[in-house]
Amino acid sequence: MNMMQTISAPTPLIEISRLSKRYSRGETVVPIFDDLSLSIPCGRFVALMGPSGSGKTTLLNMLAGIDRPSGGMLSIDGERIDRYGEAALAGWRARTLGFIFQFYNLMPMLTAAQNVELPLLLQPMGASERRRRVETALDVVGLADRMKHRPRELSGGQQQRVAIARALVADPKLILADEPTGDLDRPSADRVLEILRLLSSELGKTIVMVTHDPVAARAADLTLHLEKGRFVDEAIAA
Amino acid sequence: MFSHVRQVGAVARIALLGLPSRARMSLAAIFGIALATLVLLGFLAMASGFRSTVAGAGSDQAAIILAEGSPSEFASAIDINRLAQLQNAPGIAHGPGGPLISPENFATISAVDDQGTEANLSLRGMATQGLAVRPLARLAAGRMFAPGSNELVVGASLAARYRDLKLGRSIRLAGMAWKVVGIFDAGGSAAESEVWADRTLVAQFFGSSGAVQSVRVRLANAGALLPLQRYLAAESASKLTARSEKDYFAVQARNMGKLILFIGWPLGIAMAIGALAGALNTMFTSVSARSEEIRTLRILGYRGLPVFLSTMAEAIVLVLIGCAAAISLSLAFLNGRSASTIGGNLSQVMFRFDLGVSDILQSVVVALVVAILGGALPAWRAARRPLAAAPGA
Amino acid sequence: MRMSTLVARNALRNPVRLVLMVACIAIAFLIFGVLSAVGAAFRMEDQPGAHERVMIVNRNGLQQTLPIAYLADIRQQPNVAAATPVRLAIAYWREPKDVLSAVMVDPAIYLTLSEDSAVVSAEDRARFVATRDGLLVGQALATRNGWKRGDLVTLQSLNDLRTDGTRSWSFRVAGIYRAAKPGGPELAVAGHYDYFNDALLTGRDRANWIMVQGRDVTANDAMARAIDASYANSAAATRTQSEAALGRAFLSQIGDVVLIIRLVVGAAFLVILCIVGNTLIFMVGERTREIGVLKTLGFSGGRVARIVVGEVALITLAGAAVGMSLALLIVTAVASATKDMLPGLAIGPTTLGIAALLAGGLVLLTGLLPVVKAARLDIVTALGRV
Repeated sequence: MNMMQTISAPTPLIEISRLSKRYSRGETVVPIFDDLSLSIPCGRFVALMGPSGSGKTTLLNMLAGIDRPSGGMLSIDGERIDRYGEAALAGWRARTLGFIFQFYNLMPMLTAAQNVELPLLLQPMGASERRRRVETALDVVGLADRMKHRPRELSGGQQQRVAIARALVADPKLILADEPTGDLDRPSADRVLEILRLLSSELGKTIVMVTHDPVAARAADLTLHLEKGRFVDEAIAA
Repeated sequence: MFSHVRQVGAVARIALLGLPSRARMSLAAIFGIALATLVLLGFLAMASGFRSTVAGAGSDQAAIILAEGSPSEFASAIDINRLAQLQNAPGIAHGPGGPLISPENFATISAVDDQGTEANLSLRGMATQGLAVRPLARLAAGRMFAPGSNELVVGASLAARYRDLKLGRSIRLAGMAWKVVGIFDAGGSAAESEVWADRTLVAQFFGSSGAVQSVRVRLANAGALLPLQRYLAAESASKLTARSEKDYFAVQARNMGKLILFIGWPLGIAMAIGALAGALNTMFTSVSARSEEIRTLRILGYRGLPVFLSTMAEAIVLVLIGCAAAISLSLAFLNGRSASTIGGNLSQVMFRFDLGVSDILQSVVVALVVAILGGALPAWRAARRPLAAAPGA
Repeated sequence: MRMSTLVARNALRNPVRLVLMVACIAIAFLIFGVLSAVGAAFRMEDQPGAHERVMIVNRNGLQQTLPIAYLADIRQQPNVAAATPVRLAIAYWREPKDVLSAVMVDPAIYLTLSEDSAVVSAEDRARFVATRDGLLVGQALATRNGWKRGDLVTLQSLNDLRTDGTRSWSFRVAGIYRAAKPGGPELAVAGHYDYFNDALLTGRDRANWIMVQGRDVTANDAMARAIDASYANSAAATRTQSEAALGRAFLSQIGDVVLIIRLVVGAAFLVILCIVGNTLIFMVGERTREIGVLKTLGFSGGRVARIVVGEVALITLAGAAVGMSLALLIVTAVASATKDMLPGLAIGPTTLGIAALLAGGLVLLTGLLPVVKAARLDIVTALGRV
């Protein structure tokens, strides 16, 4: 599979149906959302907005397979990940998912290139192939000249771009981003959003980005608003 | 499978590369395990050293005759009237002056060492054949004592440590001056912690006349012990038993070594439990310091097992560093160092710390047990930590 | 809410870490407690009688003997109230394996001098003193061997011979003693020195030591010097010292082993100092933000320091208490097994006192850095760090 290859399929990449999530806090049960349905086609760049406690982070966690729904159906790229166990989920994430964190979450003792290489260690792939992919991914985010730098030698914006390279290096179909610009100044944030746009339009990646920032949301094809566990957008609210 | 190995490698590498940032806690764990290992090694080396020093005092070419039922030379009495019958006993080697038999008794004397501390030492009264009956002993300097004169022959270990017992010096014992006329060497064994003198004088001046405590004989050949034992058994009135010097000292060594290990192991294990608590503490701290890093890797698709194994690897590396430090320290400063303690005759026995391969292996095993116990729980916790925190938490 | 509540809540927020630190400290105190109990037993620290009784032994060691003629001379000393010879016999009853410790003494004087450790009824006492071949037997030994008053028992000596060529002495069980302290040693026997000595071939007319009760305890030292001086040039020079000092001297003969045991205790404390101290520094670091909040609320540096010290003290004292209790349990168990080899094995007030000092020192040493760190913490940096 070549990462430069554009993937487009007529079927939706993400399909959520009647999804519910409740947390139990001691005696009381706190519902986050109930009966949530949503479908996102391949190659779309979706911004997910909403106030604190609206459930957007929980939804993102479920899309990433790091939190489990209490009920309903969750299918990504045709795989019912709500039915997967721990190990299967880890394998699925390695194949299908790229994740971008608000605080970059790079390993401080590894170089930029080594950080980007991490997901590739999960694939059956030789060292030269891995090096080629790492170089390409860092090139895409414009950091080909920073391969040997460690995170602390990079600015916040540069670190986030390394994290994006890490998210795309294994050529995942879906990239999830949790407030990717939340900790960045405006010019760095713009640069990050520009790259995400590029990943969606040129490489056909499906991107779901949780954000508080309306400017960031404007970079997306579509913005969904979640409030008290419901989508308030006319088009989606079913 | 292949990617599994690579996953473990990658996660372990990240864990270990991060060690310097957790340096202080890691050092505390290393320090703890190092000291615990050092304590254990110290006792093991002491026991081994003591054992080999005592066991090394015995040869299978000599036999020791004791009163029946006596566990050692120090709790034995043989009527001197019975000695004559031993002259004709079978299996005993002959020298120029007749059969090589040495009736012997003990006294303790008080001497001052080079540091000025007074201690009690064993004085063995023996026949002039005393040297010839001992295959493992030889004169290193000077000569054997002359019968009937106040002369001493001193073991090399004592001569090296006691200022009154050097060749040519005199020491006051029982109100008389005794001259050191010879130094004997017994391969560094416990026998070197003795002072020898003429038995009749020892009996006369140290209040043990009328009986001897043991009889040492040189065996004629390898199979000579059995005829000697049969001969003694046939003389039921005498109630004497013979065993090879080698067996006798092996049993003494085992008993004494056991005593040291009886103290050493519980202490070593208590220290190891302390070190374990330290290691657990460090590893829990490490896991909590690495929690974000571990979460990131898991979200990237890494499985729980590599996370578990990497934490174990960190614990094992820390423990092995501590253990290696302890082993090198004890090899450098402990091994071969001489020490003294009280022996069977309530007198000083010199011995050397002797760190054997099996001692080192035992300490490594203890350290690895600490590593595995100290790593497993934190590692399990690290691998099982939920990836998504409950909102607001 | 009081300050102590804050301290307790703080300590309990990470129960695993709390347990580990307490365990660490407990182990060190356990090692300390057990080893010092052994040391104290040798030094006879908690046996007041041992400091008052005076022992005269051969300068050349406990294995050497003294001529019995010394006894008469010593009884002439002005400060000597009573003196008895003690001759040790290593003997067994039926099986050579079951060696028992037998002392041959002047019966009346020995009973008086041992009143603090052995209890004998007036009737038994009179019978033992009056019976020349009488044997005073510990209750536990009598029970084990099925001996009753009036029984004739034959003991075989391992290290002494009789003039008749044999090694057996028959005794008549004349009395039974009980240990003064419950659980004390009751496995020894005592006989008459004269009866034992008269039959001796080996080492006749000699005693292993002479036990003396002084009239005035404060004059004991002068008496000891006078006795030792009078025999300094004899074949058997003496060393006169209290029973406790004799135990100490014996311990020092074990020599390097004692040093090694001290090193072990030192090592154990060094380990916990390092581990606990580090963890506490780490804990303060972890709570930087909260300490900042407390200071913003108006807690002074001193007050914050007191909260941290309180927590350190809580952890240390809990560890010390657990460790010393475990040591107490172990020592009690071991003591009943070894009461005949090493009587007086117990954790006494001295050991407890030193443990308290150690705990205090530990609080100071481990608490110092974290407390300074917490008290000096600047509010802006504390809160600025998220």
